[in-house]
Amino acid sequence: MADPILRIDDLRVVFGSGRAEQVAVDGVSLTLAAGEVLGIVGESGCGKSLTALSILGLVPKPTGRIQGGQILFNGKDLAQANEVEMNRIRGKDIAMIFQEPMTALNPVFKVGEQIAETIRVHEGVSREVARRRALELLERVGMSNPKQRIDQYPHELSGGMRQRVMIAIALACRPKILIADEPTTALDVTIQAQILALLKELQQEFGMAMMLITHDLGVVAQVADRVAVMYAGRIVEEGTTIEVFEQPAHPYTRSLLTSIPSLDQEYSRLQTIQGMVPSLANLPSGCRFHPRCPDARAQCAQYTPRDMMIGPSHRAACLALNGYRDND
Amino acid sequence: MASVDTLATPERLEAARPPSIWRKLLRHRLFMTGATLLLLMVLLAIFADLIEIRPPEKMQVRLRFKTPDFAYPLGTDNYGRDIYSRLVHGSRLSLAIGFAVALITGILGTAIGVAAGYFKRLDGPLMRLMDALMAFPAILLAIAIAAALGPSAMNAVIALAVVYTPRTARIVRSTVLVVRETDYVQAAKACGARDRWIIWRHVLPNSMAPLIVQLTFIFAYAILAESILSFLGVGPPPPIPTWGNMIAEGKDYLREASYICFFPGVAVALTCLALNLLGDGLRDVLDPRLRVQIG
Repeated sequence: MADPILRIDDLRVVFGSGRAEQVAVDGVSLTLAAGEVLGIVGESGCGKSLTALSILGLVPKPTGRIQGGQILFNGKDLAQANEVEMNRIRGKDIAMIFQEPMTALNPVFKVGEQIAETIRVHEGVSREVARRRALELLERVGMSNPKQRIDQYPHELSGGMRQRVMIAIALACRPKILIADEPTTALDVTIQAQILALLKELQQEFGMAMMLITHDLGVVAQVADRVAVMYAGRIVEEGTTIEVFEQPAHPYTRSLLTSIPSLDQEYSRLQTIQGMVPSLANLPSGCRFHPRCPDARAQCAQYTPRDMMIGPSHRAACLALNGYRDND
Repeated sequence: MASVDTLATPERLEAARPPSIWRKLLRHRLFMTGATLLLLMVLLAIFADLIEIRPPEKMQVRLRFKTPDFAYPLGTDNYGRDIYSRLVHGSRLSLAIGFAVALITGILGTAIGVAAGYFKRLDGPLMRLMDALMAFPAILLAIAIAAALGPSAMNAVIALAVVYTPRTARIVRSTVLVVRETDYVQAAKACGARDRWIIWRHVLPNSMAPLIVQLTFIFAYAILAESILSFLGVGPPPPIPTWGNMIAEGKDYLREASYICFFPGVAVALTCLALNLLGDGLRDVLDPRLRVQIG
């Protein structure tokens, strides 16, 4: 594996304080190598978006805060960086695409101005230069009729076109890392495929690393080199996409994979994972997945599983891999 | 084949655009009524010197309490001054006070509202101060301030601005609270935009609509409140005519010469009506959701 350009070590993000404190991200460690696509998969509320927001220092304050761990980028710990330092990194080195293209654009400005704005914030170029670059970007993200679109308002564009604008904004300063938080969730299926293909293409062209956050395993399979599966604030399994899809080691990953409707199995009922995602206020003891785990034993409620390397780049946290205690 | 070519021409894109705000306002009948009426009042104020019949301060003792006739279209008051000319001149100060109050309130209210809504640390102190000011009944507080400062046009403006700023700040704060949590503000932050830039480019433009509507109402309230202050003797002092002090001076003769009070009263009422129609129209166009709720 190439040298990581981003390294998250034992990140802990909490909400509230004192007795009401809730741990939303609990000891997450990740690395992101230059030029690779890392997929982060998990159900709603498992802490995947919060992990991404932590990288940009955008954890909703004052209720949420980073309580521990490091986020190392270029030798600098972003978890400790102040607002001024963060502002220099946001958009320039690390950019983010949001889930809702409908609301992530300011309704009162033309899209061209919004792309140009990011360029001007970071590079202080003139209006004309910024506008020319915005036009180039719109062409690059495959916008039809870019010369007209640049002077249109967000409400005049469709969801797919707005997401293209968002991508153009994110790419405006040629970031080294692109974080895409559910970039296709709000789009039609046909548009989803186009946007994913575009993201992958641009990622390779710009040589960026990309962190793709999604709850859609199909999306991950299409574009990610590596996958991290999160459950209730922890990473339960991580490995290359092939490893995780072909030899899922954690019961949660296996359950997720069997919940994908398949074209081969005709007439069979769709598999679901029983139970609900635990609330942060009431996390189960031991392995957090044990109440829903088909293979759970009594020990799973007592011991927190450690990460186990089960391949050169494949790890999972399950007691079955750690080895159960003898007298169970 | 030719029909395919016409699909995406610029003209077609243009036609697909929803009507602009201006066009919607032009089509709004009540808004246009209010706008025309207000424009009329403003023209009256601007060209007061040209359309007056005689100087508004000119007293003619022999012509006191003249009922309206051809030479004195609105009659004369207790000093024999021409009410029509006074009314026309009074519009200047009345409108000016209303406008100044709306302007000052708009600036102060926006500044305080944005500060309180955007920076959570300032929210408590600033809004508690505003609450304290709002705890007093509006007119009572205005009278107290105007009385303490002494009767003058400037002091009336100060008093009314102090009274109406908290209300504006509240409205601005509440919209800023919504806007600061929107995805595009979050997205701007993720792009490395600083607070000042976000406030200027994202928060302010998106919080203006309710403020503009509110300011038209404050304009109307201020004109009304000015006449109340004048009526109670703490407004701009005579002999400079304002609609308020005209009513105040006429009140003693209400039985014998009710037209002295009547015409400036009508002027105040019409102006407030015009501003309210204007405000309602703006609200309908700028914030269509509210319209559904009301009717």
